[in-house]
Amino acid sequence: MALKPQLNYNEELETEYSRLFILAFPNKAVQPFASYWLESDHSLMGNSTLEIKHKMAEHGIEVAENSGLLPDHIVSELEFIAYLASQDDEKARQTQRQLLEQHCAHWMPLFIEALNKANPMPYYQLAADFLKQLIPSEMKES
Amino acid sequence: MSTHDHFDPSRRAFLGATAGGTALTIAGLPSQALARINAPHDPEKLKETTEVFGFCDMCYWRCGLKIRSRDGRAVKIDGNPEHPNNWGVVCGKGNAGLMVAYAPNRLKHPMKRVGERGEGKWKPISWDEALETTAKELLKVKKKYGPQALALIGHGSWEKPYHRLAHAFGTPNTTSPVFGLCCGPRGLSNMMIMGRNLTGNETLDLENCKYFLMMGRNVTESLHNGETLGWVNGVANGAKVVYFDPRYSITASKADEYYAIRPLTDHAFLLAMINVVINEELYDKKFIAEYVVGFDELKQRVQKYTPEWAEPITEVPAKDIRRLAKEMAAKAPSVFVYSPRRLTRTSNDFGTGMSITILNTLFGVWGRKGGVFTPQKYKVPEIDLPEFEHATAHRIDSGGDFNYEQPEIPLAHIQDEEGKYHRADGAGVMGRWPIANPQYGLTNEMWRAMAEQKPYPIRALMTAGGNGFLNSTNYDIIRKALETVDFYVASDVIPNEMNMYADILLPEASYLERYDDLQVGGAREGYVAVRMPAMKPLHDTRDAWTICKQLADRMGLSAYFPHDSIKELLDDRLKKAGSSLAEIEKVGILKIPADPVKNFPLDHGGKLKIKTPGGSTKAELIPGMLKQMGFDKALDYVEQVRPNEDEFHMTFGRIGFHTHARTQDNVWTADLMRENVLWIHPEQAAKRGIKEGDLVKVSDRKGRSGEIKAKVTARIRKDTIFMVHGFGHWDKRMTTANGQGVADSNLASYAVDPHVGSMSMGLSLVKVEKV
Repeated sequence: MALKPQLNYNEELETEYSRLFILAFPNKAVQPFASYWLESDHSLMGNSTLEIKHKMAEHGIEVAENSGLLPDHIVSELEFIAYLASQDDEKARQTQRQLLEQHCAHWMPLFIEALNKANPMPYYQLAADFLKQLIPSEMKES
Repeated sequence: MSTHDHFDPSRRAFLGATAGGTALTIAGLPSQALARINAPHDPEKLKETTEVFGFCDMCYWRCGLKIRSRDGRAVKIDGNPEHPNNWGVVCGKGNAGLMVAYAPNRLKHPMKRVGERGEGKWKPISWDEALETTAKELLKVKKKYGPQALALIGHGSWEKPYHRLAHAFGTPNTTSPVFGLCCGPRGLSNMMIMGRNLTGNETLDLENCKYFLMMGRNVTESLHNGETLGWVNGVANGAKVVYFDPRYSITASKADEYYAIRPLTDHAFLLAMINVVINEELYDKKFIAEYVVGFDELKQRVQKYTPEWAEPITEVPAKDIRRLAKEMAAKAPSVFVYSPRRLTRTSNDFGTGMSITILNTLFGVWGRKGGVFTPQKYKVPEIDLPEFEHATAHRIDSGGDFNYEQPEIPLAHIQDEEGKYHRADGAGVMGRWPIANPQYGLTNEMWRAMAEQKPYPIRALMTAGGNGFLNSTNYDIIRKALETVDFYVASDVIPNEMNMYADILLPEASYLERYDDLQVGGAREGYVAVRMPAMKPLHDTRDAWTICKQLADRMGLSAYFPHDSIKELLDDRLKKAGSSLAEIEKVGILKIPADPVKNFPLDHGGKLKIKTPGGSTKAELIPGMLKQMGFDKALDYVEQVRPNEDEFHMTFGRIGFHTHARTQDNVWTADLMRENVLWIHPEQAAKRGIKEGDLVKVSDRKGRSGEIKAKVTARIRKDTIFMVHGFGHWDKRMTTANGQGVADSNLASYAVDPHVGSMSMGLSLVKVEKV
């Protein structure tokens, strides 16, 4: 299952994205990085980030330099999962399973919980709900 | 706008195949690699580290660094053993530098304000849009009001390109807090009397000094590695330490003698010292005869300032003043009066500063071992640039050092005879603040000029680092200024209360992720040091030079940024100095070796070269330039404010692991100190029913107040309270610092020194009550 990327941006969505994930004022930012949730000092670019980077490298891909995203940004990780799902080989399936069970399952629920608390507008609420279902369902499938 | 330029929260993250193209084998990674919590640590599997050189941005001492990286990530900061600012040592702040880069709260993407100014509603935009908008808005202001309507406030070791951009734009209104909010009166004192700059990285021969008379220079807690190291070695070598401070600081605890001097009265004590040194002929007669003018006049002027006069003012016993003067003279010239670094306290800081310079001069410490050494300079020419509109605005320093140049004194009025505007803050302007440094300006007065739109409209503001709210002392003026300008663009690494008001927010790469212009310094060795990137910039951040170059290109100012990259600029400058970027990158620092003959000329039969701003080739104990302006009255003592019985002097200062208002949100430094507390004497606490840890309210005479926890301690005078500077953040984006402690800046005085225009922050009187 893949979401069709939405290409019509509006200011409301962008402002909401900023409020939720970047500058957050007046709330605490819902940090979209695995490292933030997995490292004891909430540091970004932690070992968890590098582990994802290495996993990507194993499959011959990396985060685009001009994307402004870290490898463990939620966008990067979900896209990694989508990429793996599109590959028809055992190794990709194995990595996908590892990623979901041993990595995503450790931080995405915390991220989703924080996102729900930030009272997001419907677009991001739906994304949160979708993400919440995605992890267990993909874990079953893969 | 094409979708390519648009910030796209869900855009494709992947570039595609890695350079290798083929998938790497899974061997070498433990099967549990992605389970962070179960991942076994296997040092054998770690990749090799690479090493680059840099200099620190955590405080203004700027220690030399060696930064190790592994796998595209900076992992360890060490000192560069070759750098004279720290000789390989890095402090807690320096170590915490990694968390500047890895902070979850750092600014990550260019942002555009969409709500009311200061409301905190933003949308992420592309760099192209951010730069286009900034250029367009600045040019709009220029067209309507002229180039002088732009103000630039910079505060960081990377602010230099912003100053160049503003000067190229044509405004004289560029400023850094270093003068008006910090070291101004001290720098000016040494400049006026000796023609010397004695701040930034102080040229004090700490190791060989035999007698430190320290006027609240809290050298152990301000913690500048090279300075602390030198002082500790001096003490180990047998120096005597006499320390003055209303608070028993860590430095006080290491002193041989400690005086809890009455706040704001250092000047009275110093004048009495001068009186004794002159009347008892304790001065260096040879030095005075050869190098000094104005001695007889000074002698007349200080006759009334006897130790007996000073005793009731300062609470330092007259007999001790006489004894200290004699003790010092016996050790001279390997002695000095150690000035506070920030000298913005009383209603006459300039007088205090000059009395320190005078005492040091009477003891003949200049160019002597154990006194003040003469630094060497590594000559690294600036790049060739077209003339700037405002010659006085041309910043000549390198890497943000406090290099004081002789101010040119322009005419009265807001414009000169050619129609060029003088500085709006009045720095270097006759009839306003003629002796204030026109390169650094008076940041406090620049805020006022913006808030009041006087003496002429300032309609655009650009800030590079800094935090007007927490480093200045009048929230109303800062807020009004930020709300009044037509356009405000802020660049910084971290969010804060000031850049919350920006229309466009530009995220800077941290100092671990970039090149910057060279650090050119003068110590016993002359040196030039390089800052190299230890990793690629995280998120969507860029370095100051690139941002300024890209803005310059969009405003028709490319001629002022003639290089294609900062690396090219560095190579250009270094080649002019007989080296190259490739060469300096191997070692981090190039040096001219220390030379005792040059550092201590008077110990080696040499001469001291003096040139004061007044044109004298001898030290002017009473600077002629000041006499012409009637400013020599600053030499005389001015009565200071006194608290009523239920009030306290409000004091603040440093701690070893925080700098300014910029490290409180760093989780590593915050781990050492999360919030500040109010130091109050046990008797005063008991009177108010205050116990250790109680929440108390501090309020000043203007009705400003804050709530803070009490630290009940006999380590402070009964008439004084103290708090560590930089806390009391209210920006909710700073999730660690937000709501922790109280901002001294909202309690300190915003009066100004009547001669310099710098702030007199220590004049504030406060009450304390239990909440």
